[in-house]
Amino acid sequence: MRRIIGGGAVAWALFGAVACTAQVGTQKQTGVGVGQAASPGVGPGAGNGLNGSGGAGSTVGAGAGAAVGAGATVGAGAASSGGAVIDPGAPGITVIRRLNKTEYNNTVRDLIGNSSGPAKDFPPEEQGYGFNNNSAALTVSPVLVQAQLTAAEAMSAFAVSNLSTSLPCAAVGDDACAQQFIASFGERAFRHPLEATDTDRLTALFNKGKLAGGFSSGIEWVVQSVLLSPRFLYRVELSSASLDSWEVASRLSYLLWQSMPDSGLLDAARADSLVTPAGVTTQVDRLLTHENAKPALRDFHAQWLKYGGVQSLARDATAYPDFTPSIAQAMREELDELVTYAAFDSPSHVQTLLFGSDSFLNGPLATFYGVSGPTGASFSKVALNSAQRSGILTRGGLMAALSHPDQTSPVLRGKFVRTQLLCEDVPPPPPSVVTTLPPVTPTFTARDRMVQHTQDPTCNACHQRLDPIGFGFENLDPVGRWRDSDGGKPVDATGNISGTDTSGAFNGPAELAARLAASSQVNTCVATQYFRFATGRKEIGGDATTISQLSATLKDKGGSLTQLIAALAASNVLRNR
Amino acid sequence: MKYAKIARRNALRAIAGSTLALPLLQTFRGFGSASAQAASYPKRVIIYATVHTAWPEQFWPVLAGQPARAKTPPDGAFVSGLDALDVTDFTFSESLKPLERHRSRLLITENVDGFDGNHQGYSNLFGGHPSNIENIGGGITVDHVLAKELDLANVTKFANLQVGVKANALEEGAGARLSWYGPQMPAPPECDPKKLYDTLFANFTPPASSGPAAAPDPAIDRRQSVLDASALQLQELQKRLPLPEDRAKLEQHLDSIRMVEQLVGRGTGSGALQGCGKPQAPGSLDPFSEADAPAIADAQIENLVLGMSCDLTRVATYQFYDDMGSYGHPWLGITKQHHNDLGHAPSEDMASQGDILKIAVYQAEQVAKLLDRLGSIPEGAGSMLDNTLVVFVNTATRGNVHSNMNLPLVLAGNMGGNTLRTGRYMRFKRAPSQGSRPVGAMGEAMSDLGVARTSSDLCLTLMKAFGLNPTTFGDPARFTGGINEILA
Repeated sequence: MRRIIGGGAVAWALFGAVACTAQVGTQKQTGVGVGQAASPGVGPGAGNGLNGSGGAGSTVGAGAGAAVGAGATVGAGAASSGGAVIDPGAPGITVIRRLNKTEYNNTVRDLIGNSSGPAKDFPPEEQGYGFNNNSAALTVSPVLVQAQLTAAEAMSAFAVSNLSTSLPCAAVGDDACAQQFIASFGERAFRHPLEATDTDRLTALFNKGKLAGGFSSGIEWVVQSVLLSPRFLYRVELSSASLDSWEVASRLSYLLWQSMPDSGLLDAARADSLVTPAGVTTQVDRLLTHENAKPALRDFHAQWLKYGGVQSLARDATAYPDFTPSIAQAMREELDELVTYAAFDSPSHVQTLLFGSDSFLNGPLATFYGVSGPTGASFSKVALNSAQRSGILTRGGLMAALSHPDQTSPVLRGKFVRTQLLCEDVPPPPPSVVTTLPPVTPTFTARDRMVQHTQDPTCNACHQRLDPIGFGFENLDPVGRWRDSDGGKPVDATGNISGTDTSGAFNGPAELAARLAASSQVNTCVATQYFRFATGRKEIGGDATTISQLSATLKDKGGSLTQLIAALAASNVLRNR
Repeated sequence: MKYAKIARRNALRAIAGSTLALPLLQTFRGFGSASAQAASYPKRVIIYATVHTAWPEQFWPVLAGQPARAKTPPDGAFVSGLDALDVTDFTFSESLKPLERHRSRLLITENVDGFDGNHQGYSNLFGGHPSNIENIGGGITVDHVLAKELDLANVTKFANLQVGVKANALEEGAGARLSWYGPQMPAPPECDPKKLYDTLFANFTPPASSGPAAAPDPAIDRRQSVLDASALQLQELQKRLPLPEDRAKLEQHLDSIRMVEQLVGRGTGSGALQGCGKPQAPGSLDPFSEADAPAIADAQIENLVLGMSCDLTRVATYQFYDDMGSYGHPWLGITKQHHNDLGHAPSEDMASQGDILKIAVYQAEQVAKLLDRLGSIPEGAGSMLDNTLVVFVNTATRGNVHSNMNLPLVLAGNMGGNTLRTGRYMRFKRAPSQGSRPVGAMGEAMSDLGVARTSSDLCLTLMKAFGLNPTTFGDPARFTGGINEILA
């Protein structure tokens, strides 16, 4: 719905070459081609050539709007420089990264001690290729500038409301103390020692503010200015090839904790110990085993697997009266617990995530699923029936999210497997097609309702890739509960997956999960998704070596995501521009 | 003149120059010539836009003695008159019935075309350029053009205002925004009535009926200093970053700072206004909730009308839904999704058309309420309705062919009492096109509709109603000289 429609026209252009969209795509493809030529590798249309499907991002709708912005930004840059020529075989380039809302909130929390999350009032954030930390998509609009100004005013007022804890010195009112504050606060806020021009500018602002309203007003002006500085709002990297220790500290910290470097990282930067793999590894081991690493990993999964909205899902209240807001919330927590367990506590992240039948339930959710388990409100690990619940896709939250309010959606479920787990592209339906599904009746199964997709060749061109995968989940109803019958008939969960390294027929979700868990394409896709999250950009052809190394690491380490992250963090990719 | 290009170039020139601080500082100096306006009431415009709620045969008036319009045929060629009309004797269509009580205040205008493409509907309406993949957002929209041309930042507290109801799609794509600072720079609407109330009224006390205008905000000096510092640092950084992509990104940031400095009003309004008052602070409403939507819509009208009554702003857009508009209408008993289920429904799906009509009637009721409210606030011998021009427009003629040719469009209210020729139904001549069959934004073949007036013509005429004298608006290929016959 919103995802498809929102990206509609744009996604068309991007995927115009796919068979059932041919006549529509031609005209718009030119536009994409232009962006591509201006700057291969950064524009939205850059082919990846990594997983056989090429083309733009797998997140059709979410990526589409942002992709336009990204292309436009890059295009403008290329034009102003007279057209940059980039080696098509070179790795992609991450455009200067602005802090997204999560990173802004965490940074303000760690810098000033304010946990109110002021970025909640910022305008909605663009996504690029499925992630809200995409460097090209994170631009600055006038509305954002206004919101940043408002936030800076609130945060500076907070800082001076508690002046003695904000200051590094006791002598409130003393200009020397203000100088100390500017140096120490500035270094932490900019994640880098201040340059002389920064110090001079902030000192001048302090003096102006002091003139207007005394010492604390001067400090307030300084804090406001710092919070509006590009050195604070962006992750500025001025080194040309190898990053310096300060820049590496920021990369590690935003990658693993989604916040500014802590004192340990700042000390390491001061000691210049982050320019070697060994120095980096010491810090990565420390950061990854800390609690603060968990929210970032959860965020990655919620975005990759698109369950960020599960807690506010609503279903047809007449048909599914016990799917309450608290059940939806519990389903979200189940997924958060599961991915945390998979990433940090299970021997194989990929296997646990895609094939495992362990889950985390509380009493109400266990009752809702109709399984025995905990009785209270807190969550604990439960071994589910592996014939019914193999892999994270079979959990209530994802199955409900990939359904319509009153019926399952084999289409959405199949598409999810294609785009999120196999990293393939799926175009939206042509604009002239009526996408309204036949109504739910007591004698019609979901398979019956999808029959036009196989009968009409226009539909079938794409739907043959989607529906036969989605049918495998038919035992899981629109609220993610197991069902044995649908439309008065026994559920037929036979399906088929085609055009992959794991193709073939299967019956039910467990057999599909087994196929996916064994697939190299899936393994590469997991590595690719993390690469996008970590680098804040879409991979291009020149990144093939890196991705295949990450993919091999993931395989060699038995599917451990934390070991993949450690390998990435210690690699040249992280330490070089 | 191409406003978008000019505005952008000017901004860039100002920023790129080495004397950056000077023009920025200068923009903060003047505090408006409020007293000049005090004698007469301010001229205002409200652009009220919504999505795919109007099938042609349900929308356009029927002439006295004529049969109702034929139903739109399913192939997409819709029924539109070709000849010019200017009549006062007509019957209201079902979609517009709620507006009948304001008959003498309305000007129903047929044969004004937008740029094709429902999914870019909003952004295609008032920027004069098609919004597409190379140029998302098209161009600067007329609300921002007016703010610039009339220097409203130095006249009112808000140079213009973006108000929304469930127009909060997460992607700021072309379809999601009605108001644009320029290409790639959407101005998203505030969809939370509580937040809009706080923005407008939290620190505002209505002036005594004969008192002076409010004092300027003392925080302006500080804001100016910190924004200037931010702009200078961006410039310095730009010079040191090796990648053109990085520099382009910071340039957009600089542009945005410049816009904020230009558009965050420093004016104090025209002082005491007869009807100025604060609304009740809205309760807690969820801007993402379908159930809360009607209460939000009402609260936003209150915010907007009273904000204008106190001269906090003179130019506003009111956007009801983003273009995806995939929402139910529980308060109308409609659970189907507006865009996918209803908008895309085939022409022969009478049940869906019935639902669309219900939504259309609701929207017309909202506009009628807006006019009621404007009419209830006295200004001189009349009311705010004499000095406020309301544009009621729908982004699409027919959702299922993604057309926004022959925009469902109604003008209402007036400016200075008698600028607009109201109480009538006008249709503009549509000449058959000479060229190839038009193609929609998504590549679909459109019916050959020929050439009539365009939304760019409307924008130019709106500017004229404000006393400006522009010669062209937007893309010359889609500009035919204005719609000057709507002005008295």
